[in-house]
Amino acid sequence: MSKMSEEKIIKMIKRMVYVDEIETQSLAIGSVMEIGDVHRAAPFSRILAVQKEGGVESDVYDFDDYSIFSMKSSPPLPPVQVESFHYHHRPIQIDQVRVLGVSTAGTFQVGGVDHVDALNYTKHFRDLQDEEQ
Amino acid sequence: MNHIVHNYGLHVGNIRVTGVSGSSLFLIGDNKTVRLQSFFDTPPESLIVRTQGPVVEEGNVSIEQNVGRKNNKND
Repeated sequence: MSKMSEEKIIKMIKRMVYVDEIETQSLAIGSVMEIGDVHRAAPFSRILAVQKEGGVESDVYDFDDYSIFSMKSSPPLPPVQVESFHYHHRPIQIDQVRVLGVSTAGTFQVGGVDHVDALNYTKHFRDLQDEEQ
Repeated sequence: MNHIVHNYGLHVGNIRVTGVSGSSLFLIGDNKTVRLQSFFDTPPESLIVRTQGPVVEEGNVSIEQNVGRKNNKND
């Protein structure tokens, strides 16, 4: 691919977005709500969800004790080598958006974003007093 | 290959989303690349739904041989 065409793909102009009304109730655990253009968003979260029997006393759990947190993600795919031209005739218009919750490295974005790379590890387990786990 | 995209217009009245979770993306706008990964582990007990006590009810089911199919539309 020539440098010229590569430049065209990279410099794709994003559309203007008009949203009249946004309502969001909650943003939790490494989540983000963004208004405007972003080059790169990479939210990340690690969660140990423990259901412990016999009350809540403070306890320390180590992510390294659980193999899921050391799992490696697949390498990113090579970019699509297709020369494309975009003609934006009109902006995006949204009258009303209601998002109740964004959680666990979730992203709610109004506007253009070049790259999103979200990663989340969640492990649920139970900590029982005796008998089988 | 010549790939041409015409974005003539996009007007949406109302969007209602209950939840965006676990490395998910809700995007109003344009983008180039997206990579969303989630590793999730939950014990099997948390997925099994059962009643508290033992099941006392018993049912008897008899199965009849299905002979003529042409009149049996509810089959």
